[in-house]
Amino acid sequence: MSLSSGASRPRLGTARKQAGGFAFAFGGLALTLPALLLLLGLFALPLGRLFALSFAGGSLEWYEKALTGGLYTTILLRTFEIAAIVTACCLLIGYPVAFLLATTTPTWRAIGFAFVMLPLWTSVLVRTYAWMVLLGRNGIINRLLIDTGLMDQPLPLLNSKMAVVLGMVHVMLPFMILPIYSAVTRIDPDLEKAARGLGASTLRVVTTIYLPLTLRGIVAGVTLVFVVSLGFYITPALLGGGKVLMFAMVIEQQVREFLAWNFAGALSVILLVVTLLAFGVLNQGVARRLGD
Amino acid sequence: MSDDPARPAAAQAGRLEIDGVSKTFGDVVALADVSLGVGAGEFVTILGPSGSGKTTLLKVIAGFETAETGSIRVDGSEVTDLDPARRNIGMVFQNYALFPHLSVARNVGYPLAMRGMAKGELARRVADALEMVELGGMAERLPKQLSGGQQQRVALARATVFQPRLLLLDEPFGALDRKLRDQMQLEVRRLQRRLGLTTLFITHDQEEALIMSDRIAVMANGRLQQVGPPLEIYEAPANPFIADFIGESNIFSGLVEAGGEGVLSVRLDDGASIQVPSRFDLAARVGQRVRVMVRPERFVDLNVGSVPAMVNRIDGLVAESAYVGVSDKYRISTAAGLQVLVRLPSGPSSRRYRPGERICAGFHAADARLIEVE
Amino acid sequence: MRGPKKQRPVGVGRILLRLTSGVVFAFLMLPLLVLFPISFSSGSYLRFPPPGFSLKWYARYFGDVAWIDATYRSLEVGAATTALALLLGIPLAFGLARGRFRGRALIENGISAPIIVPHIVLSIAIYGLFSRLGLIGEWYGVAVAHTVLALPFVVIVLLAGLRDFDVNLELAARGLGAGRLAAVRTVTLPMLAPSVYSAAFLAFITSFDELVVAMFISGANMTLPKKMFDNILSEIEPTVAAVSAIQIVLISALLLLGTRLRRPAAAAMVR
Repeated sequence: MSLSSGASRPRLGTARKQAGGFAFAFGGLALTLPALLLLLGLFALPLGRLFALSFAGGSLEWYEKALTGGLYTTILLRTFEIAAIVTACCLLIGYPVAFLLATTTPTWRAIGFAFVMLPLWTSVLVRTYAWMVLLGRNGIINRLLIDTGLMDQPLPLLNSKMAVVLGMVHVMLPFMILPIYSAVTRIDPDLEKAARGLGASTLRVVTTIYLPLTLRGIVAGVTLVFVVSLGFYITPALLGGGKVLMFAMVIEQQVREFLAWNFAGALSVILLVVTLLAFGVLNQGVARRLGD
Repeated sequence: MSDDPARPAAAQAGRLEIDGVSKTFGDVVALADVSLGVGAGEFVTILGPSGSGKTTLLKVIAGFETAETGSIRVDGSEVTDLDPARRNIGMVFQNYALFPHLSVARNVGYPLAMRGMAKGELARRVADALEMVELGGMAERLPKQLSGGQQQRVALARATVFQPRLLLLDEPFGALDRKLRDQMQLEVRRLQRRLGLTTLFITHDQEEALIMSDRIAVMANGRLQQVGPPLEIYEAPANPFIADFIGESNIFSGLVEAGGEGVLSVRLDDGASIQVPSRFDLAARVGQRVRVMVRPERFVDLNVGSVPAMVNRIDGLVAESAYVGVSDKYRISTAAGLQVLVRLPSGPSSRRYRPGERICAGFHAADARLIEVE
Repeated sequence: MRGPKKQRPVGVGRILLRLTSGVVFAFLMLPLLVLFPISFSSGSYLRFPPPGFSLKWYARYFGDVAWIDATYRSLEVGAATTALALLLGIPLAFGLARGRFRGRALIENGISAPIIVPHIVLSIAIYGLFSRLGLIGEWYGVAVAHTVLALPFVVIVLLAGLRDFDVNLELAARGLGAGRLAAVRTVTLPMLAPSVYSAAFLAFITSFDELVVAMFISGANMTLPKKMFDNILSEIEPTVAAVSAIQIVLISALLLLGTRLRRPAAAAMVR
């Protein structure tokens, strides 16, 4: 809505600008300003400066260091791998749960939701700690295995990729369940009856009705879980015991231990670019194919 | 209801003048040079299909949208640019817009509270207003605890309790079932008469418009098409749009063969020649193409012996027939392929035609209406 | 009495679905439940089953100034973050929901950027800024940084609430004589209350649980998560289990209290 549209040709009576509309347009922008200033000062500018550091002196040497030699690319690939495994696990076990929650009775839905929401609201640190208690050398699982005579040596459960994946799935699972749940609830239950009436088996109902119609929820969940997993720090740091390095841990190390700001900046740019690429590909690409 | 809350008569007359109001949204013309006067105490309906601009007009009057050109006056004073809060206009929204977090009493008292009325006086007025809409016992309920009809009444009480100069009703009966709607239509009209409130009513339901209004203003594409009493709108539509939009109609096109004493002779495309009253506001010369409207229920069955011969007649075969209670409805195909909709009164004595049977129906010249000259 | 209802036979698929879900629910809940017996252990390190019952880890938590200080600081930072995020987020959500200005869509999309950007990247960026400003170790510095993280959640929840809100209600209020601010105050905000509570809860939890940013900028004045993290790394004793158990109980109580308030938050996260 442009300013000039109202003032065009006056006809009968008085011509006037869309005073109300304009005032509100301006007011709307003004309302967003304080928050935008905060984001500018504490988000855009610091990130910008960090990125500037990575190009300090106009050289690409920090990027060269990061991308050659294999060490950091290997860690990047491992980060990708772990994020992908976590995402796949979440989807695999999250979908049935979301489906059950969406189709069960209100009472069971409330109970099920409590089981999903309580962990979601509990801090990541607490949950990661709980996994340490469970998986530790003298942890609950090893204790049980030995006490019941199934094992005579404690298994090295902690400080492994499996432990990291387990902990991360626990953290990210609700973020997979919620969008899929909402996608399933949006499906008209009569569609299933119609499909069954037309002779479809349970498997066919799932593959021809539910999966296509919940694709948007799946994409939303997969995007969120994968993108957030790429930047995980606490869980791999505690459950990986330094043996499972993820990219965020390398960045932290560079700043804290070596004060290598330029290099950390370059690594940050790489992680951010990779994250945004993943987000863009998953979100926009699939959305476009779905005709959004 | 001995303590009638009616205001001193004619303290606020509520004369509304809309003068050359236009409004566009981007490229869409919502209102194009709309002018309309509504007399004090009058009940005027804006009737139009969805997207015709009628709701925009209401919003401009209420002050929720700004007119780009033109002016709006109430009792002679300009309100065009006045803040909606200061216009003193009561409005009932399509879905009532009752505040769900406030009780019925607080909903109705809201406009009074906003005007800073003292508590005692406010409570008395709210009680009166609720009594008036027969919801005296519901004051402490929440809107969602009421039925649709009751919510409607609360909305009405809220829109009138502050003695507005004008009452605007935006399709208020859309959400009600048919029976309740019929009842509410009468109730609203009764209330409006009792309060002497100038009322602008919006609907897309032509039947509702015909029943309720003192005058109807038909709207399409952001323009007023015709303004007049219900009878005039139905019997003498100004143009093909109105003829088609209101009631059922047959619209025939043909050539003017001859013009005479207030009567035109028109040869229809299928060859038949009919007599049509001429219009002083729509000149038609010999040789011009015209369009003529005839309502289906104005036809009479010419096969029944007692009916005198008629000049205007349609001969054809019954293509479809349906029994609709008060009448039998037929679609007739003439030899030249013209399709005509005819309603004949049904009853034990009247003849019923089956598809394929020959039928001959006629109508009086006075029942035909010239609606367009090309 | 309900009439005889035709019971649909439960298919094999349905049973499998329930079994799978049951296992997943156990997976989600078990780690939380396991902390309780550990926290009541009389042993001095993580042993299961606990050798005996005692409250000594709770006593240690409540008796240790460092723990209480960290808790107090986290509450303070969380409250400040909540207030700040609402103060900035409510106007922002209104502007985005109601405004018609250029760049509105851009701002709306951009607002979730702090969720997508890895926290470690944001943390060191803010660390760089704060160390130059001398803000390391100041509790309000942590609160301001946490506000950046909480703001997207607040705005997403409030935007969903505002979009569900029928604008006609506000127009009706205006037509009935309420000024622009009076209409927002008497109609819009009261109806948005559940969304505001959810947003506040989200903002508080975001800050109260946050570790990565706090690790860099809280300095010697540790927040509770930082203290827990250090404790986990350095000592193998169940004080952290006691702290965790207290947190889980408090969160459960809040969730039970706010079952009504939780829904908009969940709905917004689902979006």
